[in-house]
Amino acid sequence: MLLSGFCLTLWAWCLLSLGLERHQRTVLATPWSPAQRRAARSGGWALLALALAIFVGWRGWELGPVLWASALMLAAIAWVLLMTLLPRGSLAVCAAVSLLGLASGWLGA
Amino acid sequence: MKDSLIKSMAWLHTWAGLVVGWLLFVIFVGGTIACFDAELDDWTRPSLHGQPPTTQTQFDAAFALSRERAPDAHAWWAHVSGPRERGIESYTLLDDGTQSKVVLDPVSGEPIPGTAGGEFFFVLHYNLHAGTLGMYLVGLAGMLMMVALVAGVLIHKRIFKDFFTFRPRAGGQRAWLDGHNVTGVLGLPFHLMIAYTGVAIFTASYMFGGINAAYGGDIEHFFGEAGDYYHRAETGQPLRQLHSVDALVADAQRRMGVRVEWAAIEHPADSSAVIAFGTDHSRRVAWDMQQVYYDAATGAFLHQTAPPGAGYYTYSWLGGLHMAQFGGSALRWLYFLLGVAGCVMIASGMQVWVAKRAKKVAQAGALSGYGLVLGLNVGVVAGMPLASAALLLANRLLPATLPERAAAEITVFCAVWALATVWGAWRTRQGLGWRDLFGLTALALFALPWVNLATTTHSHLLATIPRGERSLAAVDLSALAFAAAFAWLARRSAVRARAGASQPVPQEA
Repeated sequence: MLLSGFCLTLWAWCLLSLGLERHQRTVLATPWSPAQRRAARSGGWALLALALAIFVGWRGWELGPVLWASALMLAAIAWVLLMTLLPRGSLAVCAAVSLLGLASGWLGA
Repeated sequence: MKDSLIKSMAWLHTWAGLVVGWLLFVIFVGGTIACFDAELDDWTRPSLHGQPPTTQTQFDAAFALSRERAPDAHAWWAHVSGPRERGIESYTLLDDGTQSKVVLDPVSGEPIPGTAGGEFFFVLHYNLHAGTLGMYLVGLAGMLMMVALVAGVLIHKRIFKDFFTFRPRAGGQRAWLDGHNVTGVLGLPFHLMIAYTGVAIFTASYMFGGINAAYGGDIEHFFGEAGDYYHRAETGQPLRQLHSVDALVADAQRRMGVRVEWAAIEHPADSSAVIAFGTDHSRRVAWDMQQVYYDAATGAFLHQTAPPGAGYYTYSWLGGLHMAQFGGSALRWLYFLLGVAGCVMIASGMQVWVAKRAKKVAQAGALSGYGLVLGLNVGVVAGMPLASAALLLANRLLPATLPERAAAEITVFCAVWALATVWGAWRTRQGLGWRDLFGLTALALFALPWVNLATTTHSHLLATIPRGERSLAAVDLSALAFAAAFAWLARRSAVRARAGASQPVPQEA
């Protein structure tokens, strides 16, 4: 569950940064319209909220928000490193980590 | 107005950060490692590895040994063997406030070789092994960290625009400033929380006005009342007989509704002696401070603490949020990695200070204030990880029969750090301080699993992975991961040093 929640926050930061013109251009070859960037930002915020729901569902209202906030900060740092060191491949790495998260979720890890 | 505010905040951030920067770095490295203090304690006691786990408490055996060591102590205290840490920690506390500790084998009840263990880093984290003075220094560092954090946010003009921006290839001050900003801003909630709750734990010592007015400065009396702890005045008569402590565990667990984690006997030689039981903090964010008490002669139930009041519960919640005992290994890993981000924030902040003044540093030379900062920076930031790795190597390499073995490990830690600081400061004149110390740290950490393999039978990776002992294996695997990271840092420093040598102004690492 930790990895699944972490992946959601990773995608959330990914979308939030794609909502900014400078980062969108380093990650993707094709430029986005302002409307597309706005949509990415909304999607990012929605994923952050969904991740909170997942952590609260997993460990309850007392521990869930602490785990969510911690995962949130680490995912942000991880995404910035990924986007800096591997701009064109960052989305692929995100997808690979998410598959791993889904698989570990299925296996009940 | 705005300009002068930003200027004064920039001044505040620079100097609040510089004054306690190294101290904060030491506190952060210690605290980050202390996320796994119990796991590291367990790792440093190889004689207990490979044994079947036991749920049988050994309080009577532990207290029989305590009686031999300190018959008229103020109190005896003993832990149970648990899943995180299988050794039984047994303490004797004397009336003059000193304490001594032995660790017992959970099966045989016999003492095992001493070690500094994970507890060394935990104590380093909250008082630098310097008692009350150290606790105040750490508190001061924590308060200045909060000042530096708030001032840092105020002077960061592009905090939202540069939220995701990191330009490591930009070189010089820019790369360090980006690294400092990214770890600082993205980890800001954690840094603020950890500094605030860390200071809050010792609030009764740091803000003593209330305690002085209401309790005459007696902090223990205050905590005794807040926690509803039970005490009996000494009678001066000797205790006739000591009731079995192990026999009371089941009743204590029934009354508390949770597992007994420790037992203590207060003034065990006196007829007023009281047996106390407490639990751990693994279920809620707030510490679980409840205790039950029994008469030490008859085993009769005496008292159970009342649930904490709102104020004390709030305090326990803040302390619990800092100590991270409640979320299992998942939360420990999250706190550990956020702690690493904090270490990077502090170290890169110090590098910004140096890089910004690179010209002045070069002009002033090695025997100046700037030269001192440059050299000490290498000694503290690169020396402490090397000393920590040396401590773990010493744990495996020092003979098990060595008297005062824990102290010998700490001597190794201090000696390596002192040598590293002198070496690093000296080699910084050639721009090679970082490369040398990071390279040595990488070697020491890389050697750790191999030394483990050569010196132990049940504790190395080839034994711990098949047995499924994740915590033990994680120490060796983390050492390898950090070895790779330090090797990368050493290589990067070497490249920078070569690039810097061809330029008139020496580059920072």
